[in-house]
Amino acid sequence: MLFAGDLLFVQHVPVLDGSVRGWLKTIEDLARIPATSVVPGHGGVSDWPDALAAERTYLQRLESDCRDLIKRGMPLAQAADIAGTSQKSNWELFDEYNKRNATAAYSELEWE
Amino acid sequence: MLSIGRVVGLIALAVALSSTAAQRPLAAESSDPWPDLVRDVFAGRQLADGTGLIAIDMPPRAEDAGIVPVTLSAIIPPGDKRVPVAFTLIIDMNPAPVAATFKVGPGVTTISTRVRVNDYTNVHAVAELSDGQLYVVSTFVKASGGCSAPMAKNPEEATANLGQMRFRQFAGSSPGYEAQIMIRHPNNSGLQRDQITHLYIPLFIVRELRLWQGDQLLLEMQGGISISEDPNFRFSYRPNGAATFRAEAIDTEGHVFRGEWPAQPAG
Repeated sequence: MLFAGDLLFVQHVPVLDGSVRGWLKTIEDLARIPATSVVPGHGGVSDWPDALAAERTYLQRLESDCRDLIKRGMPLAQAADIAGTSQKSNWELFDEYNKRNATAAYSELEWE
Repeated sequence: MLSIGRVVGLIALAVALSSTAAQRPLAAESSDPWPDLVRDVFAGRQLADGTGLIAIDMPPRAEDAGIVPVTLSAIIPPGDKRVPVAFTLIIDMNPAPVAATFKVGPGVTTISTRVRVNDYTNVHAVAELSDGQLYVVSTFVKASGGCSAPMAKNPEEATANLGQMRFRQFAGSSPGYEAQIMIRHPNNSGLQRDQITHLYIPLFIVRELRLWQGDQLLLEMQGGISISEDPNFRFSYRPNGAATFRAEAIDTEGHVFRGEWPAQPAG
């Protein structure tokens, strides 16, 4: 049984409080931890490492959307309305946190 | 059993409490910092209503109080020959309300940046137009704790990249030409705490930034603590045919940062 803290969100949309690239890298490290189930920071006890998949998909999409919007020259204010929104149906509390996540990811990635 | 004296006392207390409550809205009104700000920042100069001439665009509720996008624009109607000369951005309830002042060159009619917003507040945009008059518009933003929000980047990374600049041009973008200047700087507000020691991180901000198109000053910014980490300014401008853009920034510790970039061919 792995206790993942807020490195793992299940059902509740992940809340990005730092680096999106750093989190994605950490997910790969976490995935190697041998365990059969996990207690996430948010959401119910889940199978491990399957429970990582949704979070990984969301953060990857957020990252690739932001990279694309930055490349196209879209300003932050507009980009935050768009990035990651294709993932909405997979998560709860999406509208509460996605723009904030997109803002953080965009301001990190525009320095790549 | 309550004695008569205690009952009277309780009633008096209740009356006192209710009258305090009734006065609260009045007290809040009289603590509006704007009249004092007008006096202090603009030396009491008359501020005319800028509706229809200038605009401020900010989300009504901040998603991240430490990075709130804001756009100041001149929206002067066609035929009106006035142009903006300067913009001042004031976040009324922030500990240091003047977020930035900008002097602007040819074609700089829009400036976007990102700011820290500490509390529910009016945000005022004041523009000086070429008629010498000051014009004001405002918006209301709900946010909390932006000025003390922890740094997004770790301090070692911020130190290693200190003063790195980037410049992007968005040639031909709507409504005309736009450019963006970014500087790597923690812009510590003095109100943030170190996440490990919990001690306050001293104030450390970019206080001046100048950007030239050839020899022509295009943008001059004097910044305060409300400008977000890694200061970032995107603005419209009119190309003047110069071959290069050049920037210089100075921070509160006297570091001078410089950058120079070729102008993209107009087109």
